Amino acid sequence: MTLLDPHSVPSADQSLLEAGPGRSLAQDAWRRFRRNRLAMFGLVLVAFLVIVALVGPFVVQDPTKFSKTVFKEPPTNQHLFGVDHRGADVLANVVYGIRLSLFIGIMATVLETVIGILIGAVAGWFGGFFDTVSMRLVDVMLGIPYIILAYAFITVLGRGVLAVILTLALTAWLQTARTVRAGFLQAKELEYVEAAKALGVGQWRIMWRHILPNVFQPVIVLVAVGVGSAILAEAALSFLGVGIQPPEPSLGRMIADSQSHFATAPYLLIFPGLAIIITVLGFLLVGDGLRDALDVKDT
Amino acid sequence: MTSFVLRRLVSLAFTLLGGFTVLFVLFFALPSDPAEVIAGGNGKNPPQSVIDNVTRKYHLDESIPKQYVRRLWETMTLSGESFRTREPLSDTVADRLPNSLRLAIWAMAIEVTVGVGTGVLSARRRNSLVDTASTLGTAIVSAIPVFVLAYLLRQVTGVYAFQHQWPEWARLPVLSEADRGWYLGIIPNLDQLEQIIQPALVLASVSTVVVARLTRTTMLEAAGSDHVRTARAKGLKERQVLSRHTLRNALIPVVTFVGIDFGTLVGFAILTETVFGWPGLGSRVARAAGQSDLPVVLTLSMVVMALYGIANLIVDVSYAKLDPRIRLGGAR
Amino acid sequence: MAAPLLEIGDLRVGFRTDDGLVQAVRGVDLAVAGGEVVAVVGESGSGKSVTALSVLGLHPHHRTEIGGTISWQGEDLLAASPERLRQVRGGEIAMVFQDPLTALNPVHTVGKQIIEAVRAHRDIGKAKAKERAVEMLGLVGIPQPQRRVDMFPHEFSGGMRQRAMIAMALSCEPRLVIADEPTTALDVTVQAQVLELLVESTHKVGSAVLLITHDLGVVAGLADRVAVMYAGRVVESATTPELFAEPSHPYTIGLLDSLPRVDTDVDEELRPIGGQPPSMLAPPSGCAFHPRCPYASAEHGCMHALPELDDRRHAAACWRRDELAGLRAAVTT
Repeated sequence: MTLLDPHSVPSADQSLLEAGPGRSLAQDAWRRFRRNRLAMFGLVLVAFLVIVALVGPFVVQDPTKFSKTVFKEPPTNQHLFGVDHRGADVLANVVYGIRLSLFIGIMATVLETVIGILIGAVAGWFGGFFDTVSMRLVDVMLGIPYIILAYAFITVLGRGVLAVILTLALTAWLQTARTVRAGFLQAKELEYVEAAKALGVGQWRIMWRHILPNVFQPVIVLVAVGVGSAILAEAALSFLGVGIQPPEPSLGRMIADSQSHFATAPYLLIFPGLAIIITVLGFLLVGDGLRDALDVKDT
Repeated sequence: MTSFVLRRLVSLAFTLLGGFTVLFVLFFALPSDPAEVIAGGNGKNPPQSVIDNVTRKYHLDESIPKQYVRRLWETMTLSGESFRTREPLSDTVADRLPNSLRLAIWAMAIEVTVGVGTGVLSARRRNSLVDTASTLGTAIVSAIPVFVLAYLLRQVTGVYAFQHQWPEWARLPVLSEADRGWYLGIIPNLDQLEQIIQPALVLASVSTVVVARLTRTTMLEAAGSDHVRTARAKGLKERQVLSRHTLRNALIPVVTFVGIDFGTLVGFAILTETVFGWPGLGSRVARAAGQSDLPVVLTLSMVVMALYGIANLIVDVSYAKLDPRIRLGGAR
Repeated sequence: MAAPLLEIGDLRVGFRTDDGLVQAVRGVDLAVAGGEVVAVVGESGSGKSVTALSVLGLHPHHRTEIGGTISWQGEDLLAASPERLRQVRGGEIAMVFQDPLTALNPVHTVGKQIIEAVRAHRDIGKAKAKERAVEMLGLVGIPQPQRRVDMFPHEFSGGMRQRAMIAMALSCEPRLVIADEPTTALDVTVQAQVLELLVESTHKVGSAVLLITHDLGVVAGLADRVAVMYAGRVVESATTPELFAEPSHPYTIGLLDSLPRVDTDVDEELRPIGGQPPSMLAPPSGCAFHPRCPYASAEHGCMHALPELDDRRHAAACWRRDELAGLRAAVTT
C-alpha cells in the first residue's frame, strides 16, 4: 500500500467535519437535534400538549355538560374559547379532544410500529413466500387511496376509540414494514452478521441484537411523523362521521358538527382547528429534526 | 417500449385485482352480515324485512366465491347501482369522473407552477432564514387538516369578503357547481374558474409545499454536482448552466413526485370535494361511505385506483424520456 | 523558461466551515509556460485540487476566501469580470476533472455536451459544432465517433468517458488544460493509456498542461516540471529529472521511498511516510511537515519557523536542505 493511495489516507477536510471522538451516536444525534431550533420548537409543542392532556382535565369544565341557556357565545371570561351551538364549553372539549387525539395517535403508532417491524423483519430475514406475499400486499394497499382504505377497515371494525386505533394501525404499518425489510436485507449481508451466523448464534437472537438496532433510526423517524399523521387521519375520519362517536370528544367531529355555524361563530372552527394544527405540527417538526439529526434519507 | 407498457398494464391489472380483493374481503367477507351494514347505515337498527330485501337484491346469501365473481364483474363493467339512490354507477362515473379530473389537473397546475417557482427561487437565495422558513412552512401546511383549510378559505372569500365589501375578484360564491361545457373539457370560463379555484387551491396546498421543498433540495444538490461545475468550467453562461444543467437535472425527481401525486390528488379529493360540494368522485364516495352504500364505495374506489395506476404508468414512461439512464426494457 | 502563460503568486484559499476557517491553500507560487507540462503532486488535502479550481474561480463563492494573484498572460483572473472569466473558461483554459462519470451530465448526450462547449466560445451553427465534436472524439481515439457522438455518458466505458472529457476540454483549442487527477477514478489498466493520450493530444492542439496528481510515479515520463505540495504549500519545485535525481525535501524523499521502483533490489522494502496529514483548520506551527519528518530538529527552527521556498532553480522549502543528502545516507545505511 502506498501512502498516497487516496483511500487509505483520510483527507484533512473530511476528518475535520466528523464528530469528535468518544461521543456515542445517540449523544451526537441529540447534540445535532438540540442545535436545530425548529425541532426544539416542535419538542416544546409536544411537551406542552402532553401537559395539557395530563393537567387540563383538572382545570377545565365538564365537556359533556350542556348549558340550557347559553348557545353560540363568543369567548368570555367564563368560557375562554366560547360556547358551542349545543351549549357546551369549547375549551373543555378542545382539551379533552387533544387528550383523546394524543392517546389515539400514540397507541395507533405503537401498534402500527410493532406490526410493521414484525412483518418487515420476518419478510426481510426469511424472504421466500411470506416476503413475496406480504410485500405484494403492501404494494396493493398503498395503491388504495388512504381515506378509502381507512374507511374500509372501519366498516369492519365498527365505531369508537378502539376501532379508530385499530384502523389507523392496520393502515399505517405499510411504510414501516418496507423500511424495516430494506434494513434487514441490507444488514443480512453485513460481515458481523455473517460472523454471528458462522458462530452459531440463533437467528432470532441475531435479529434482535444485531439487526434491529440498525433499522432503529429510520423507524424512530417514522414513529414521530406517524403520530402526527395518525392524529390527522383520526380528525379526517371523525370529520367524515365514521370515526369517534359522541359523547367522546373529537376535534375533527367538533369541526364537522359546527360547520353550519361558522359564518356567525368562527371560533367554533378556529379553536379546534388550531388544536389539531399545533398537535400535528409538533410531531412533524420533531420527526423532521430526528430525520436530520440521525441523518436518515427521505423515503 | 410497447412491451414495457404492456407488462406494466398487466401488473397494474393484478394490483387492481389485489386492491379489489382487499376491499371485497373488508366489505363483504369479514362483516358477519353485510346486509345489515348496507341497510343500517349509521348504526341504526333496520327492520328484518329490509335486511332480507338487501340480502336478496345483492345476492348476499350466495357463497363468498360466487359473490366475489359477481362483484368483480359488476365493478369491471360499472353495471352496479347505488343502494340508496338507485342511480346506475355507469352514470355516476360518467358524470363525476370529468369533474374529478378537472379538479386534479387544476390542482396539479398550481402545484407545479407555484411549487417549482418557489423552490427555484428559494434555492438561489440560500441562507438559514429561507431554510428555516421553508421547513416551518412545509410543516405548518402539512399539519393543517384539509377541511380546516377549506373552511377557513370559504370563510374568508365567501363570508368576510361579502360582509366587508371586498373587491369583486376577492368574493367567491360559497356553493360551487361545476357546469358542463368546459372548453376542451378542462378550460373553465370565468364563472367556472371562480368555482374551481378554491377547491383546487386547497387540494394543491400540501403537494405545493412538498414540491417547493423537493425542488429546492434537488436544485441545491444539482447546483453542487460535478457536472454543473463542468458546465461552468467550459464557459457556459450562468443562464445556460441553470436551465440546461441545474434545473434540467433537478426536475427529474420533481416530475416523478408530481406524477405519483396526481393519483393522490384524485384520492385525497374526498375531503376537499366534500367541503366544497364539488361534484366529483370523492364527494360521492364520502357520501356513500356515510350511508354505508358499499357497492358505490367499492366501484368508485376501484375507479380512483385505476386512475392512480395509470398516472403512475405515464410517469414511468415519461421518466425514461427525462433520464436516459433508465431503460424501459429492463427490470425495475 | 519563456514568459509564463499562467503565474500563480502567493495564492491563499480558505473555506469557512462551522468549525472555523480551513486553510486549504497557504501561499502557493506556481508558473506554467506555453506548451509545457507541469505536474503538481501531493496527498489528498494538500491543496493541489483547490489551487487548480481557483484558477478558473470554480469554488462556491459563499464560503470561500481567496487571496494572492492568478495572472493569465499578464491579466489578473481574480479581478476579472464574470463575462471575461466565462470567456477564459473552456476557451483559453479548459479543465479535465477526476471522475468522468459525475463530471459529465448524465441526461445529455456526449455530443451535445461537446457542442455546448464549442458554441460557448465560437460563433458557429449546431451542425458545424457537431462536426467539430466528431472530429475531437476521433482525435482522442474513440472508435466510430459519428455513432458515439449521439450516445449518453453511461453508455461509455470509464476510459472512453474520460477521453470524451478530454475531447471536450480540447474542443476550443485552449492554451492551457488543467487536469485534476484525470485517471484516479479509472480502472488501473487504462490509467496509463489515458494519461499518455492526454499529453499527446494536448500536444497536438498546442496546449500546455497543468497535471494534478497524487501519484509521483505517473509524473516521471510525462511532466517537464514537478511541484510537490504539502499542507497547502509548495515544498519543492524542479524539473522532473532533477527532482527524481536529487529530491531536496524530506517529504519528497518520503514519497520517492514509498514508490515501488524497477531499478532497485526486490528485497528493498517500501517505506511509507508515518503519521497523518495535518489538520488544515489548525496547521502545525513551523514547517507543517515537522511532526512526520525524520529530520526535524528544534535547533534548526523546524518546529516554530515556516521555511520559505528558496529561490534556487531547483527550489525547496526545508531548513535542513543542504544537510539532507548526508542525513539520508546516515539513516539508510
